[in-house]
Amino acid sequence: MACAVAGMDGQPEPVAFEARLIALAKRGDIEAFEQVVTLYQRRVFALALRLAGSVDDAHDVTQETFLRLHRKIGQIDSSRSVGPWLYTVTVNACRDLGRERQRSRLVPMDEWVATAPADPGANPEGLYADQESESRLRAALLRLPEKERAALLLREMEGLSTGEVAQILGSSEATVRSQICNARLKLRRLFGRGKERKS
Amino acid sequence: MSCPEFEERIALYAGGDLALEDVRRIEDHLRSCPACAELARLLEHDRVSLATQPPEAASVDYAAMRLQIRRRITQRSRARKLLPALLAAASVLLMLRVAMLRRQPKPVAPPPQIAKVEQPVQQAQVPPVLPARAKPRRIAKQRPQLTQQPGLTLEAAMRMLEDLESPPPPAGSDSPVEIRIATRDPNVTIVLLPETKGDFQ
Repeated sequence: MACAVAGMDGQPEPVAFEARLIALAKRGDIEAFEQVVTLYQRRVFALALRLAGSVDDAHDVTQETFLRLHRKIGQIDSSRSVGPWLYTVTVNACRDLGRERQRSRLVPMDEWVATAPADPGANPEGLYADQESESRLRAALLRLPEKERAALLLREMEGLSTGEVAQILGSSEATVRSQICNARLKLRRLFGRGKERKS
Repeated sequence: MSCPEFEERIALYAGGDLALEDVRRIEDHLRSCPACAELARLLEHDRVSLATQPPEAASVDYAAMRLQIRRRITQRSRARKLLPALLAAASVLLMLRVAMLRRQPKPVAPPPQIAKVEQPVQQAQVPPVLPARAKPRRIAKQRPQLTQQPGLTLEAAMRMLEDLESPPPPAGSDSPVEIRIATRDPNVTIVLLPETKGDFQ
């Protein structure tokens, strides 16, 4: 919607708004920083949830991501969206967490139980997946290799280009394209198996 | 069952990652292969599922999360403010310690002659030596201490040594020492008397 509207400095309106908030946060304005958090909190949490696999871990990763943003706010280029930077930190934090826990939280697909029930009134437009299909999707995602999972989620959840995903993951575009392709096919096979088990 | 040789390209096609000339070929194949068309449809469905937000994202208390983040930022900024003060205090303490060490006079090593003179003075404070006559063994042990008395000449030391080796008779007895040896015969006793110059008692 407002993406097409250019701001005073030629930037799209949301980016210009974000840039102003980042500039204020760099000067120590905590309210401006909190507005940046508000802009991205849901997306960062959702990405962390699907990368890490549990609500508790997603909470920890989201907090850690925004704390790192506050710590590094001086290094952020306010002329560009802070989104890719946040996704990079989220992916890295999830990877660190996964190494720490050695995937101890990974449970078989059939045993997976949602840790936080969704608020039924919070999804009036069908924006959120239903709990059952989300559970199966997340369990299948956790079976993918770490980099393939991250590449697929960054591409499909955040709508980033192959080049942007490659930059975040520190890989080449060709590698990322291959990772995304493999992840799609593996996820489909895992979904197929899940359905066979259910039936 | 989809065609294995087409699977990869179908996955790329589903995500819009396929080159234009390949797109036409895949679309031609999908029109003729129902299994591959089904795969393409399911992959598109998965993409929609992935793009949809997880339901838990709707039930998170983001205000509480922001508050928590704010608290942690405040804690860290307090710690940051304290850190220079702590470092300054530590450096001041270190400097004071160094200064104290520098002010302390260095112990001067006395020349060897002075050491020889001072040593007897210290030894003079040793408790007085017990009488030599009462316990000769102890006297023998303490003899070196006597020689270390201040102002003790070699002659005086020699005199003291002679006195110790030949102790005078016990106080109160003026008679000379005599040794009586009993024999088997009770009527015979051998008496040894010290020899004196001139007369015989």
